[in-house]
Amino acid sequence: MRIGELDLDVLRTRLRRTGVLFQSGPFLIRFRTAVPHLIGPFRLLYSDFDCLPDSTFSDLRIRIERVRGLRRWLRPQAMILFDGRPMFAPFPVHLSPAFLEWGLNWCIASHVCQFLIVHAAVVEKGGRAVVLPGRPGSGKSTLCAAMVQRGWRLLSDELALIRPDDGAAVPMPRPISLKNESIHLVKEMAPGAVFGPGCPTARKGQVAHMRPPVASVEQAKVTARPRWVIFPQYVAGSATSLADLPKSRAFLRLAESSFNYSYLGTTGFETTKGLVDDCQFFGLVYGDLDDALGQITMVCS
Amino acid sequence: MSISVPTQTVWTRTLGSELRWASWDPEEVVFDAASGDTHVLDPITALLLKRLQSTSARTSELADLVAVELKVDSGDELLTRVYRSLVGLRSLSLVDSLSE
Repeated sequence: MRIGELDLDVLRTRLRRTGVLFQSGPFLIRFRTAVPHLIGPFRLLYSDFDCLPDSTFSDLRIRIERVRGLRRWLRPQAMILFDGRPMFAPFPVHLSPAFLEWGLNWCIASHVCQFLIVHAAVVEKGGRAVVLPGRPGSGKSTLCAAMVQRGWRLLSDELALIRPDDGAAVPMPRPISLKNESIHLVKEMAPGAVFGPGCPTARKGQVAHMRPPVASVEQAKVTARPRWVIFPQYVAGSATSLADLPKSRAFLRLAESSFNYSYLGTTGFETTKGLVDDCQFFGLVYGDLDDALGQITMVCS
Repeated sequence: MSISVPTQTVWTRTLGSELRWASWDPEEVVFDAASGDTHVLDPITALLLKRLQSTSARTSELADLVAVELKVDSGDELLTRVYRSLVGLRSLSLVDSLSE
């Protein structure tokens, strides 16, 4: 049964007691919480994921719980735990949906070493993938969400998983994280897209997550070959420019965008080298989303 | 600015270094497994580092090698250029100098 088909009370009870076990790409994730703010958004954003039968094994065990003490009555806080250990300092409880995504990203980026992990979104069409590496604020998630609305399949939003054995991009579809004006832009472009609650944060501004398309969730085991790597940079008001990047420079930028390139040693180097051999590289500066999509479509076809 | 180039300095590979290469014309990328560092090298510096992986050589010999392999004019300008590349490689712990 899918998470979105579960009765809300059943879901609430399961989340509180054993947790909900679901799969995102290669990872089995067990998520537990009794925080009321989270039940609805989790059900909404993970609606199309199968709720797997309880099993003794899971790769990632995440829990979000309320912080106890007097403070809970004044400024309620929550904390997120990985294998029972806190990942971050306590946060306002209304930010729990955002922290679930950030916490999952942190767990994967910090603990998974069977893939080269690049801070990038990945989308696919016809078996060929576009990798969009970028720092926060570069506009990669905005582009990713817009491309998904234009028929590209979502493989992942924040973390590109590149398999060292064959250089394939391994999907890990999860909600797409959007901030501030991007939320309105994507909502205008795709009135049918489903969003979780807006979370006002001190550092990032307004954050909201877009539900991954059902087709992306259903094809979460179908890998793709990276063929293009585009480093986006959103600059308000700027004209769109898409320029070739020399491969040696692209190599360094990819390595810098990776969470575990150095940790993987020669495997990280050889995997990145394979990616650079296989792909065309571009630097994209854009201020207009439609224009950027048009240029990307031209080169990635 | 001209510098005095110690032509007789002997350059050698760093003991224990294990290098992996990737080439995309005209530059090359080298990964130093010992340090975990990755560097982009220009053709002259890459040629010097590759040669020093197999044999030690003096600055002047390496300048001659570059002139022949890359078909560039030999002379003081090239010698200075080669020396600067070698010093750069030494600062990255990719080569050592035995005497100066």
